[in-house]
Formats: sequence, C-alpha cells, structure tokens
Amino acid sequence: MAVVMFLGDIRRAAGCATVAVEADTVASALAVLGASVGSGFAGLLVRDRALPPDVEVLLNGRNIAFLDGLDTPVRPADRLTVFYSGLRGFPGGSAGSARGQGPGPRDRFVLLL
Amino acid sequence: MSAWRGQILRVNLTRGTTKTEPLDPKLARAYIGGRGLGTKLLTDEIDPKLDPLAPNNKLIIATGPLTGTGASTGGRYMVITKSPLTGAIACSNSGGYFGPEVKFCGYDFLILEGRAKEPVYLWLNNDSVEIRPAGKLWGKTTHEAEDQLKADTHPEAKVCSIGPAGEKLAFTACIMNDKHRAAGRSGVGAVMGSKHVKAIVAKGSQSVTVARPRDFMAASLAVVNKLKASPVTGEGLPKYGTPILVNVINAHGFLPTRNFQQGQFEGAEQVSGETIADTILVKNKGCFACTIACSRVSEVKEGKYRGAGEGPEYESDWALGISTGISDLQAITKANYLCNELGMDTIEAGVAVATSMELYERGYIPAGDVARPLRFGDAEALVWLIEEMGHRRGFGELAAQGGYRVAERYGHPELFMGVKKQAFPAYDGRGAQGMALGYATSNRGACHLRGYTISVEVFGIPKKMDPFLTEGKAEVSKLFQDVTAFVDSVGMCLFTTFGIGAEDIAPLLEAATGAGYTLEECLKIGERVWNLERLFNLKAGLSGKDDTLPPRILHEGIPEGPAKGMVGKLHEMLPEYYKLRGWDGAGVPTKAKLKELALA
Amino acid sequence: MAKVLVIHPERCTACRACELACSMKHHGEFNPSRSRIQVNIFLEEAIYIPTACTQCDQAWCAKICPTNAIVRDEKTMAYKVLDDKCVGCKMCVLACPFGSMVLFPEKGKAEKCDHCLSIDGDPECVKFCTPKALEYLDEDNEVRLRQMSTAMKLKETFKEVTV
Repeated sequence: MAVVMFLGDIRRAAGCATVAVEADTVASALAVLGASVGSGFAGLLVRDRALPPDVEVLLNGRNIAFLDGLDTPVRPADRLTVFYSGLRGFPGGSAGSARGQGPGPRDRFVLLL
Repeated sequence: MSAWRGQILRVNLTRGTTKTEPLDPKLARAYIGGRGLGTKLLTDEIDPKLDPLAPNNKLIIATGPLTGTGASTGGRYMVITKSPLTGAIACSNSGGYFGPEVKFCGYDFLILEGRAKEPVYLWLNNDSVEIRPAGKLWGKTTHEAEDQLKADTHPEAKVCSIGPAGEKLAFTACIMNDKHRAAGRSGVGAVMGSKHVKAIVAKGSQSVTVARPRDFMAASLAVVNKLKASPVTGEGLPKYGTPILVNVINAHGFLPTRNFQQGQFEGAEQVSGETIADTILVKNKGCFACTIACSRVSEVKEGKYRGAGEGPEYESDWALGISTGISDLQAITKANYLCNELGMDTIEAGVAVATSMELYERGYIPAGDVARPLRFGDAEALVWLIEEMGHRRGFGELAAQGGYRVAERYGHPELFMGVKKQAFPAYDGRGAQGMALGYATSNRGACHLRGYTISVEVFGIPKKMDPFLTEGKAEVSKLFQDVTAFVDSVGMCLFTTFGIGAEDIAPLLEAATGAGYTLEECLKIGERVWNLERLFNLKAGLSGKDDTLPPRILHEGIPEGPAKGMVGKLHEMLPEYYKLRGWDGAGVPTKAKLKELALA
Repeated sequence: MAKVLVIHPERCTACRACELACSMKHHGEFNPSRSRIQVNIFLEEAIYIPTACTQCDQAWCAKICPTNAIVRDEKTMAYKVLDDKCVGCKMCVLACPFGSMVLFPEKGKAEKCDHCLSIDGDPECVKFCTPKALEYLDEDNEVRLRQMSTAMKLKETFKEVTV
C-alpha cells in the first residue's frame, strides 16, 4: 500500500491528512482517492487525464511532472504528496480568516454605521 | 516631486545636530528609492573598508516612492549599512507601519552618522526633529521601549528600536518596528547599537501625493484584485502564512534538519503551518496597505512557554526548530517571541544555536564552556540559549555573534552552514540547485529572498523547473535577482510577486512619480542596483572566492529521502551566471557592463 | 432604501488601506490623518476596530449647525456637509460625542464620513478592503444577515445536541 499525504486545505476536502491507497499508477491512485476520501476531493482532480493547473503531486518527493506524469508507476511503500502549488485553501470553505463569506457565523459583533 | 517627499534627514549623532537636505531628482530617477537609492547613497558616502561598528559607518533608513501610498503593500522600508556580520553590504527589509510614518513626516531617507555620547532616540514629528536622551530605555526590550516611547511622544507614534542584543553589538541583532516586524538580517541592529541609538520614533500628518491620482488608483485597484484572485496571496498566505512551507519543503526532501545534516525532519508535522493554524494562531494580520495579510498573530495560552505575539514565520519556525531538531512548537514560539523582544534575527540566532548544538554533540565545545549541554532536540536548551544570546552573557556572548564565529572559535568553521558568514535560510541548496546558486551569489550573504527560485523549483510560478537540475538556473536566478532588486527599491513587499509581476508594478511606479519609467528601464535599474552592491563588496575586500558554499553542501550528499545523494552543483552554474551577468571569470563586472548600466 | 456601512472588526487585518482610500478620494493624497475612517489598533489584544461616523438618526451635528450645512440624504439616510454653506465654526466638531466631525485649518470646512455621497455614493474604503471588514449594504439586508447568522449558530447547537 502506498501512503498519500494531503497538505493545506486539501486535508479539509479529503477529510484526513494521510491515507493508504492501493494503485499501480498515480492516475489510478487519484481515482481511488476520488472515490473514497471526502467528497470535495474528487471534483478537484484529474479532468480529461490532466491535473488542474495548481495541484501538484509528488511521488517520493519528486514532482510527477519530472517523472512520467499521471502514468508514473506507484509501488508499495511509495509516498505520494498532494498539495496546491498556490498553497491555497480549499475553494469556498475555510475556518481561517473570513474573506467575505456572507453571513459570518464567526463574527461576534459588528458596527452598523 | 510626487511620491517622493524630496527630502533627506541627516542626523549627526557625534555633534547632536540634524539637517534637512533636498533629494537629488536625477539620483532618485536612476535608482528609484529603498534598496536602490539607499545603497547608492551609502556607497557614495562611506569607505567600503571601514569598520562597520565604528562611528564613520552610516545607517540609512530608506523608503521607496510607493512607501506611504495606497499601493497594496506600499509600506516597506530598508535598513542599509555595512554589515558587521559579513563585512559586505547590508540591506534589510521590513514592513509594519514605521516606513510610511517617515514619509508622513516629510522624509524619504534618514541618514544616521557618527556616534552619540550617551544613548539617544530620535523623535520625528512633522517638521520637528529632536535627539532625546534614552538612558532610561537602554537595556529594555523592544516592546518595553516602544510602550514607553509612545507614552513619551504620541500614543499612535510608530517606533523602530533595538533590544539588548543590538545594544551589546551582537551580530545577530536586528532592528524591530511596530513590535513584531523585523529588519532582520546582517546585524543591522548592532550598527544602530554602535551609534547609541535606541530607537527612532515618528508621527507625521503630512501627505504623500502621486502624479496621476486617477491612473494610480485604477492601477492600484487592479493590483488589489489580482492579489485577491491569486491562490498564494489571496488564500494560502492569509490562511496559513509562510509556515505552510514546512510540510511542502519537507516532502521534497530538502528541509535542512539538525544543521543541514539531514534533509527531512520527522517532527515536521508538529511545527507545520497546518498545526500552527489549529493551535497557537489567533488571527492573521496585515502590514500597511497590505492586501495579503500573512502575519501570524499567535498565543501560547498555558504552560511554561506561555506568551503572545506574532509568529513564528516559516524561517523562524525552521531556524529555531527543525534546524535544531526541535518539534516543540510552543518552545519554538517562545524563542521567536524572545528574538522579537531582545531584537535578534531569528534565522541567524536559530542557526547559531544549531551550529552550537552540532559542535557540542561532536565534542568540539568543552562542557565547561557552556552552562548546560546543547543537544539537538532540547527545547529547553533552545529557549535558554536564545535568552543568553539576547543579553550576550555566558556562552551567549559568543553565540550572539552568529554560527560562523562559534564554529570558527572551536576550530571547525566548515560546520557553519552559510555564505559570507551569514546563515543559510530554510531550504537546502543540495535539493534546490537554483537556491544553491542564489545563496552563493547573494550580495548580502546567504539569503533566500534575493533570488527566490523556490518559486519555479517547487511552485511552478511562473513555470515549473526541476529542483535537481542545474540547466537554466543561472538565467532564472539572474532574472529573479534583478526583478527583486527593483521591487525592493519601490517600497512594496516582495510577496506581491506571487500574484503580480514587474509589469504590474512599473505602471504603479510611473503613475505615482510621473517620471517616465518603463518596464524595461525598471528591470535595468534592478540590474544596476545588483551591480552597485557587487562593486561595494569587491571594494570591501570580498571576491569571487566568497561566492561559494560550505563543504557539506558541495561534497556531502543529503543522506536520505527524496534528495538522497544530491550535492550543490555550484560549479555547473556559477561560470554561466557570471557570463550572463557580464562579469569576468573572477566575478568582477566588466567595464562594458558597468558602462551599460551607467555605473562607470 | 437606507444603506449601512457595516464594519466587521473581527475580519479587519489592520492594514489601513481604508484610511488611504478615503484620504485619496476626498483630498487627492495619501494621508491617514485626513481620513474619515480610522482603524483603531489594539496591538496587545489583537483587536482592530475601524470606526467612522455613526450617521445618527437625530444627529447632533446637523441640529447644532447654524447654517444648516449638514443635511441628510433621503435615499441612503447618511449625512453630508454642504461645503458652500459651511462657515467653519466648529460647533459640529464640539457637538459630536464620537469624534466623527473633523475640520482641517487648510480647508476651513467641516468634514465627516458621508459614504462618499458628495462624490459618487460609492464608498472607496469598501472597495479597497480585502478581508471584507467593510461592507456597504442595504439596511434591511444587513439586519436579515444578522438574524441568519444567529440562526446558523442555533443550527450548529441543534446538530450537536441531537447527534
């Protein structure tokens, strides 16, 4: 089983920080993840045999762009890392600073002037 | 003049006099401001061979034309001097609110010369300038000093100050402003301490104008929207801050651990940006006019390390933890707060601790020389030593001079991880070849900001490059170095370049100054500034021989992980870099290049 | 429809871009001390509170003005100063308990936050506030949002209790 680690807000989308996966290529590993981890995750990955431009995948610390891309083979005990190259949070959802989310459940007080 | 205030305040501390001088518009046009014009002013006025802690060194507070304007992140200023740590040019950047306040008082530059007989502080209040006694503040932390100074001047005054470290001429000493922002590197705090200046306090109600307000505000709003839309500046940085890098760089296998003995840290998760956001983070905060707001307001609520402040940022987190093998986030945070209060560069201080730990573990530091053992992973030792360093007492007296001096004293200078006696930051050049080149060639000693090739080697901004390869790294390093020098000269924050480019900043500068700047010229000015710094260093006695890396980086492969076996292949990049720069084989700018840049 | 300048202090990052936007819009220059909105920064407590004119329903400033230079906009319900009527007597500055009225010697006229009504009714500070700590909303809408926010808190409590 290979181990996948999510970074930043992809953890929120996936519902976990690390997960084990059984697959023989990066593409199939992502497909398995898309079907098994948090529902927000599937929508982020692999459309038309390509990753979204700001999602990076490392295999044993090497960006798959410098290996065989999505066809890069995955072996047992391999480590995959998935992160946003923009280091960004999960679109639309965050518990960090509110960036104008409409009604703010976190605001304890406002001024009305 | 628009944007520039057109005035320099010259303070002669020996005589206790101050003088306002006009800013030469031709010089301003050619060097812009901040890093560029500040370096030009310094290098025109001091002998590059002087002793940095002697009265004839000068300390320049340098704002840019955009400092104090509403341009996003338009709040930055530089501290420029000759560094006691490296013997080379020092140019430290800081944010917060202090820089704009200098402009609101009417000045683009403050030049401090000579040495006051007794500790003093400067009080700038619009046209009024006072040199006031600071005897009662000497010995106080930067926070205590700021509180007292505001009480003595104005509750909303902006303060930059040194702590005990700077007073005691520590080479790790920095200048703090607004309590939690640092002009960190190269020991600039020691230069201020050598002049017996405790603080500069400013409160102004004058305006900063721009040549074409409508164009400026339109361009400014466009920049704000671009920064909001970019994933790094619009979400990642405000949310997780720079510490998001811990897990990313660790995954790549070049997170320097235990003084660069390993490339991965088993405790990375415990000190990561994700963990910080879940535990000690209170909220994020911004500097003057900043759209990004990446600062970490934090608090350790209970326990022996409880306290509050800002940080740790990635570099601080790494230098004080990780590089010391420490995964206790609370201890790291406490050490970070101490550095801010005592006035020390977290990078230099952290690496000094890590260097000491390696020397101690190898038996090179006799047990009698230090009051307690210094071992990797010992959080209590970290916090203890930082405090000792901040006051320069016991073993801290030497450690406060930085890792190079510690390693040299104990007979193993090769164990200092840095360049030109300034400590490496948080990326192992063996795993990112562009950074190896950048560290070796940075004009102020090892520095990640001067040419941040992590942008391409990890994040693919603006394009993806394999961190392990040397192809193309000379070219991209030079480009990043020149663009950075330009951005550092206008008064905006370098982090904007994760979301916008020089092509967005040049029009802002032009709308502000009306001086006729084009993008091409702006990039040329960046190159000019880089060469100006180089010339100063050469005259100060540095040479191409100093553009090198420690033996561990050049010859010892990273022992494990994704970058196992990698070394820094400087020899594959440096000759090409010199050529692209228009320098000879020894790294000296040719006459033709200097003529092209109007430096000859 | 009455409009409100809604300030969410918990979203404020203390960047003060609002102060710069305001002074530029009304004075053509960058100068926080000429801004009608001020960010009050309590650094130790990490609390940042932007404040501006409270647009009182029964405004002291308007009542005391001897030339009736301070008038209320019927549509938005905000108050603005009519420059050609203001004689710079500073009675409004004295009268306002919140410090919302300011008068600069060079101009000689009183100033207050008027939601940029004297220019285009499009508050500049709101445009430049990145964390959306400042919003310019219909009053009804804002009250409704506050109720919904309370309901959301209740909803979370119900979920916790019933699970």
